Amino acid sequence: MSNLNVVIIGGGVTGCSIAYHLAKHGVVSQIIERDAIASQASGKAWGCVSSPASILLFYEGHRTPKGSMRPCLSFFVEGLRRFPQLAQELREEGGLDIGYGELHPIRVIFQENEGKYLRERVSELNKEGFEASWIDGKDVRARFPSINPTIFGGVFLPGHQVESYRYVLALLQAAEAKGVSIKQGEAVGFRHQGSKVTGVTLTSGEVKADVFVLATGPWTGQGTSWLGKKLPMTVTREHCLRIRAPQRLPSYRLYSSEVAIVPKVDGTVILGPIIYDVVTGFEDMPTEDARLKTMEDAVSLMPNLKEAELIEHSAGIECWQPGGGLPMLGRLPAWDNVYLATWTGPFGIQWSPAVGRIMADLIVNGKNAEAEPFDPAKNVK
Amino acid sequence: MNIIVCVKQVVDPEAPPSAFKIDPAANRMVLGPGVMSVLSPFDEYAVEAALRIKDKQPAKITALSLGANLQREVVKKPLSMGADALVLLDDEAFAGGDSWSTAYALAMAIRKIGSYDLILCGRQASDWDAGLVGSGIAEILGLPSVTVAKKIEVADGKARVERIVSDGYEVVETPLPALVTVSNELGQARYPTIKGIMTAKKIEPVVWKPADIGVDPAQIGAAGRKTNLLKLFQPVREGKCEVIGGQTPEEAGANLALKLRDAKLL
Repeated sequence: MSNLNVVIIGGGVTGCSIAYHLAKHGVVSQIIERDAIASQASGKAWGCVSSPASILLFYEGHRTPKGSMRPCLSFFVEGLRRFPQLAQELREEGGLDIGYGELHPIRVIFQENEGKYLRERVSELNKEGFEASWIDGKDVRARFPSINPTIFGGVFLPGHQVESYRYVLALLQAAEAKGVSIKQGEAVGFRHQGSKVTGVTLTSGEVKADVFVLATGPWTGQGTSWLGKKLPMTVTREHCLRIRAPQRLPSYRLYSSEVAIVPKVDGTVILGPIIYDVVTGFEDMPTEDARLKTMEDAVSLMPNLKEAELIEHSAGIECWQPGGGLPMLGRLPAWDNVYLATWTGPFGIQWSPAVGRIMADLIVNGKNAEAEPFDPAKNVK
Repeated sequence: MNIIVCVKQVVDPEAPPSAFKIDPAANRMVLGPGVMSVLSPFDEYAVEAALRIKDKQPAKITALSLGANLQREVVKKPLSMGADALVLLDDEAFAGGDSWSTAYALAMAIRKIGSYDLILCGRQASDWDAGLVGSGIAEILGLPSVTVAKKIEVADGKARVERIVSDGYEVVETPLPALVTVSNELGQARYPTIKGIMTAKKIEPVVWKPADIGVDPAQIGAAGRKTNLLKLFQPVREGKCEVIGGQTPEEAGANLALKLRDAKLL
């Protein structure tokens, strides 16, 4: 058991994964959470784990500049590799089933020219060793008899899924079983001596520690501002509509350029818009416009979803590297003992095995080569 | 069969306590950012009760709501669940009312709607929990009223209602028209379908102002209150936690028993 006293601010997936991985090093941390575990974006996420090929085909070059995601492709690989084992570990150590299952994405294409281009890209990626395959419209229709018949084809990719909220709770419970504690409280500042932070000030008092980790997603900038540092970020809102479909859907994550249809292990289905709204401030309210647009896009892709029941519409906010998609992991410049784990964008859940492991190693050993490309010193002034 | 269901837009009862603050000077609740409005959950059961009747026989369901600046996406929920029409009493003059002035305005609107066999309300609204508006409407309209229903069956101009009592339920029969308040024991209210939500989006509600329903302005909203709110406050709950330990589970158990005996709890 280490004597290192670590406080993690933020009880979302990133904070809980860091606590879980620190506990594996024998470091018992304390999590400070303002509301409740996974009460923001982590608990409202779709819970999909994507493959590097899907990021290279449909993400970079669209949402982020071409080539920009290469430095963190290994995070997706680690997610795909570790989730099956994590599900088992967390069932044993955290006492919860995280709703893990294989869920292969099929990204469908309506336009013939786009289909031809993608077929070539898939074969290029196959040569690089990435797993993906083109399937013709006939094969897509065979898998989804009720799909919009004008579909041209699709790309079949590896992928998994978990239930986001249960996963975060399981991480916490497994960490708690190793001695980690959680304290409810709102952080409002830091106390420091020279370049060393000595305590975090809560509305209800102060908590002292040797090391502080800011894992508060879009709120991380508030924490760095208390230490005179400006953290640039883009904040977006991700919507999640949970529905009950009239018939059980085939077990694939079906998505177009507009909407994803994600059947969950419990029989419900998540509908999510692919395009997120950029928000200013912390606007995380579900909007009617997003609800209607997502439903219309889903019905256009799968017409029989018209009869589906809407169980819940939630939304969460996520923070990103401005103009990019890379995470920020490392020590806050000019401060000896404050670490950041942020800019996880929509990938908080799927990166959490890698982010938790890397951050825990960095905190315990003082350096970690895998974190270097994401060093806050590059962007925090 | 014409059914009118009264529904109320309320602050989301699932919002955390930290989202609510009190302005003691104005004796008013102040909401934090990001707190949503929803349909009062008991009213959803009232809508469900109406829909279950409509599942079995031809019926027209009209939802009726009262407030100021009602959010259309909230008050349209009955339409997305399957109601046929929506009437809104939407005006600043309706705001700040108590159970009496609200019941009065709703009763006058129901009179204007004119044709009704059954009026349904939730047993109480999830914001103030007074549970008086339903019975108030029945009183003003001179209708029989049955409260806290778990099941409603309608046939031959009568309603057979199972109503919750402290140790079970009783079955009462009432001639129609009548007013019934509905409880959550009715069972899960249906979720709106995507088709229902899209249809509801296209339905324009009928909006009435005070003059449209012929009410005395002095009797509605804040002006018509017969009760005064003297003090609004959040109860302070304090708890002390002491962890009783021991070298073994048996010793911890024994220590706990001793502690409870000292406190004269055993």
